[in-house]
Amino acid sequence: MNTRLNDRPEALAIFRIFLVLFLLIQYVQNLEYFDLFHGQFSIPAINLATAPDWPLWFDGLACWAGVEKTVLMRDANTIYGICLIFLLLGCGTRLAAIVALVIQVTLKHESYTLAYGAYDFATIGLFYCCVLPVSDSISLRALRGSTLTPSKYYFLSYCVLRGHMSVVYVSAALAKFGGAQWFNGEALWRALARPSALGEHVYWLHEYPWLPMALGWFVVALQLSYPLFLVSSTYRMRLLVLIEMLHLGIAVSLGLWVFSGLMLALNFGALLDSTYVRRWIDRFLSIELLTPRLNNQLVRARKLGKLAPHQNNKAN
Amino acid sequence: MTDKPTVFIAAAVLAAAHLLSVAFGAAGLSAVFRDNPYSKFVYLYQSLTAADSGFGFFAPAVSSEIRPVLSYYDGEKWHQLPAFKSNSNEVTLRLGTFNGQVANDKDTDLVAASWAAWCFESIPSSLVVIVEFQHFHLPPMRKFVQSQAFWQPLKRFSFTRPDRVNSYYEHSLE
Repeated sequence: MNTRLNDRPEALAIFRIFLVLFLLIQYVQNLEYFDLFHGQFSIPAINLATAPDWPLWFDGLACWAGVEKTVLMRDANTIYGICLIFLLLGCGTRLAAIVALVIQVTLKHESYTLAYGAYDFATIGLFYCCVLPVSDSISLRALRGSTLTPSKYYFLSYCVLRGHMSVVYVSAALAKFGGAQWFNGEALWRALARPSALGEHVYWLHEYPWLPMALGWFVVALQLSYPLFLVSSTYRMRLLVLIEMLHLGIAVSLGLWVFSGLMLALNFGALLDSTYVRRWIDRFLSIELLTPRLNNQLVRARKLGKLAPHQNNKAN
Repeated sequence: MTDKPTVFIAAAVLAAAHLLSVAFGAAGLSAVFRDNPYSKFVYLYQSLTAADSGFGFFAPAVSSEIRPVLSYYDGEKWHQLPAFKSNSNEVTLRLGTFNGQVANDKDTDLVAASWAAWCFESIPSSLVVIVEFQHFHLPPMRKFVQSQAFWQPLKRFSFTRPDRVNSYYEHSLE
């Protein structure tokens, strides 16, 4: 595996920014309907019962503060939105991520019958914002020139993200082997022709059954081979393009825009080559200040003659 | 962050353990970590990291779409409520997830009761509410005939509010 290229923080920063942008979209979309899902007279009345085993700390806090639980949840949701903005700016990132994660998981468990896949990926993304160095570039923290993380931790971060996404895609592929629908085209037919997806606009597909069948095989093969593409930076970029095409298709056909956006963010973190990002920033934005301390470190190390030849090039 | 090798090794070991936990969760085996005195902490960790999540979306098969159709009686005649519409795609998806739980027998009554409660709350004059769940019958691709794709009744539940019924008939007798 090519480890040298990914010991920079830019891809993690791109992951953070895209993750938060899509979480903000989700937040805004839910805001108008907050009472419908979490209020006293919400549609899913059973949501007022919390997910099994989840600690009832919201109820306890509401009791202690002497306010209604729904009021407390609304306040918590506001704090969640503020934390997302801090996270986007890269200011107080770790604290903002921890608070946002706790609130997101609590709200998810308080309405667990309404939470679809995007909510789990939001939890995964926020958890990684808590523990990985995601604000060492393209952030207010980087502009201030705060201390940077040793580069080996970036490598470890990318390994964790790649490992997690490999588990996600391989397990998703293996689950498809439990039936015949993904291999005879029926799964895509049923997913696309449902009224909430493309409906009658894709009824023509039944005249070309080989098309959904081929797409089904392609999806399973792509998911199953995800870890194999991780061997080099070039393959990772190819995988990124293929996976993003897959998620764009899911977004357009099934309307799962936020879900696809969160997957896009996680895949950026796992597969994007920081060198490309850095080059893109330098070329189009010319913001050398975005990771000032790292540049200073490289220049200092070059002066001391501690850098390998390829790192010398970067410092130049 | 410190550059000490021991700290880095500890971080790598924790990362590996986390990935192992994620893999167990994806395989539906997250419960094996909970059979110990620290099960509460394990559950909290799994919840905060989503390490207990499965990722078999639309697998192994794609289920039918389900929708609720609500009708209510106001003492004079029956009315059918228009389907709940939202301009937020996210809301539509969440409600779709909620309605999909009708497929789990143990949740069906509760989902129906939730819709009925919402209807009683939205329309104060409703005395009786009927919640009918319909599923979209889609013929297999290779035997598809457009006329055979339609919404089909699945389950039906009726609910009433005795206090409202009593109050209504008391007023009407006066």
